[in-house]
Amino acid sequence: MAPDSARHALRLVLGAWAGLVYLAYWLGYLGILSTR
Amino acid sequence: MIDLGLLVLVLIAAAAGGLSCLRALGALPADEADWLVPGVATGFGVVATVGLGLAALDVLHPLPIAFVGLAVALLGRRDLARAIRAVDRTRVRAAWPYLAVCGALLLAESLAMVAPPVGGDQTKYQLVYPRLYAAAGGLVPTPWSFWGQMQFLQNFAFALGFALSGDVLARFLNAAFGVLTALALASLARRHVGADSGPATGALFFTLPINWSLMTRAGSDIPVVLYAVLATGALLDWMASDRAGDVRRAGLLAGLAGASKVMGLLVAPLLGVVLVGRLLRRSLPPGRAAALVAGFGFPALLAASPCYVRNAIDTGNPIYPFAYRLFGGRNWSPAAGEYLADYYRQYQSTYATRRDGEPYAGLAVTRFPWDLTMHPESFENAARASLDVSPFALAFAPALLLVRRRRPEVLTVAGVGFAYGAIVAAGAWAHPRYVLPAVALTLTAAVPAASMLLGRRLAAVVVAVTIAGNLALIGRYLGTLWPDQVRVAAGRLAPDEFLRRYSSRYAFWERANGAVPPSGRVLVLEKIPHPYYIERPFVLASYLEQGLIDYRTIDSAGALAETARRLGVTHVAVDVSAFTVAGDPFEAAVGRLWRAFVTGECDPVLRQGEYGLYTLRIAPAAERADG
Repeated sequence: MAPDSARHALRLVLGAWAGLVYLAYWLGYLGILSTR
Repeated sequence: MIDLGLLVLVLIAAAAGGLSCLRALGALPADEADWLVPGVATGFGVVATVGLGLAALDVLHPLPIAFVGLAVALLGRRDLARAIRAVDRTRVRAAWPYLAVCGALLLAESLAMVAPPVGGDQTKYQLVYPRLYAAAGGLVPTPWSFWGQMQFLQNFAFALGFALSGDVLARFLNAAFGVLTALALASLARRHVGADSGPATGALFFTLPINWSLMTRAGSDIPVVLYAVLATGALLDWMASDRAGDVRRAGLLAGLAGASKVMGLLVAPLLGVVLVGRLLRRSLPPGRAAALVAGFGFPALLAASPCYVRNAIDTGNPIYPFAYRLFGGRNWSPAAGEYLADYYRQYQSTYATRRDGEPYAGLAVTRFPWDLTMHPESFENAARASLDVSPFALAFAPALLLVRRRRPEVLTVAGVGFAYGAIVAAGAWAHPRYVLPAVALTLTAAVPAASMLLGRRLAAVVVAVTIAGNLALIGRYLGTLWPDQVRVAAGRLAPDEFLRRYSSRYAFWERANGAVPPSGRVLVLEKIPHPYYIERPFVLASYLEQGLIDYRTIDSAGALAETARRLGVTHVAVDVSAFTVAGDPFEAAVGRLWRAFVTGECDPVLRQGEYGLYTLRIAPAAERADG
């Protein structure tokens, strides 16, 4: 994989993680999703 | 209003004293615009040492305090004037949206501080012993509870607050640590992480829901964050400038972190490792490298030591009652230490069920950052919002991989935070308050990481959304106590009535204080006493928190009564629910002993809720039977 595409993939993964954390945090808070 | 004026006077004296101290050490920051926050923070160390000194000399009274304060203010007045003049007003104006939000939050918190303290560790020990010292004008021997030795830097600042005015000033001083911490984080971020990330970092920390509870309840966790952040910043200053004075400041501030709490003792060794690591990578002459290490270590040792020296003198153990097998210590035993450790393990297990989990063992601790963010309520008997650290740090810490600008500095900040959090979580107790320095430092490093990941504009939106979320959670949390705290602040609700509504202990002690004469002495039979509301001389007789009365050797009600008489006890206050709890055989035996003692050796005076007040009969039961 070229360095640019590897970096792009890394950004996607890190972005997805950040989104997942925020989503789990708020859905858990609102009682919609159990994060246990 | 008077307390606010007194707070300003204390802050002036603290800043002048702190700046004088930094000047004497040759450790002032290079830029005068950066003097004020480390100056006030160092000054709080000076204030606390003065408080401890005055208390040890039995002159903890307003006049000596005012005299010392005036002398210190005169000594440092020029440096203070320079520090205030040098504050960058353009930078302050540019940060106005963040300052407006944090200012409004601080106002709401200040209103809560005007009402009397309710709940938390503040009524168990953080404010209890400072209040006792101020009332007595000096240190009071309290061999009946190890919490009397858990009195560190901030507690002696609180003692000055009580001596000058009362609980409101003490709690304003606690809040001053919180404001300084947000400013210190903003400064660390601006100087070493990203020029424009200062205000966002400060506001992200200041609006954390956990910070609301720490601002409104006096404690020791925020001071550790403050000094850890400032010490890290000073060390990064040295890495950038090579000024030996910055290393001395880092040592001094790391020492003050240790002076604030036993866990804070970790800060100096961690930064010491960073310092030595850096020195090893440079080819400095050994003499110069050794001078730098000594310049870090000696101020750290000196700044950390006063309260530990006091404990060593009082008990023989500087970190009493911990490390008993190493240091020993009076009125404690290996069995007491083991029972306390069992209690804490049980405590952790109880609340871990809130996340369907168990206390962490081995590699399971790697789950802690997730649980900390998603289930902060699973570490203590508390509502989720009161321990919430927001999702920001967990979400963006991995994006540190992307950071290119100021990479060594950003990674040092994150690394110190991570190491502190990992050691505390794995080696002591994985708990949101205990890892707060780690949260604060990780948060600081995560701000530029978020910017790299999302771009500046989107990152700014995420910061704004996170702050709004923090405020929303605080808003939910406000529904319980805050409206009545505001009523007290506005004079529409009497403080006594407020306490009756929210504290069953106060409801009992209000009546019990009236029933015990000023010359009386109350023996308090309760597992975890919160003695803040007791206004008569007292002796705590928990089976968990003291070893003066050793329930492993007292086997009858008569023997307990004889021990109580030897201690000059006239009255007995008891948590009657303790008669029937039986979490373990030892606890069950003490419950039975207390019941037999109260029914066989005491006469009832009053009952309020779960608490009863009794008089201790003067003559032993056997003598009365003979007579």
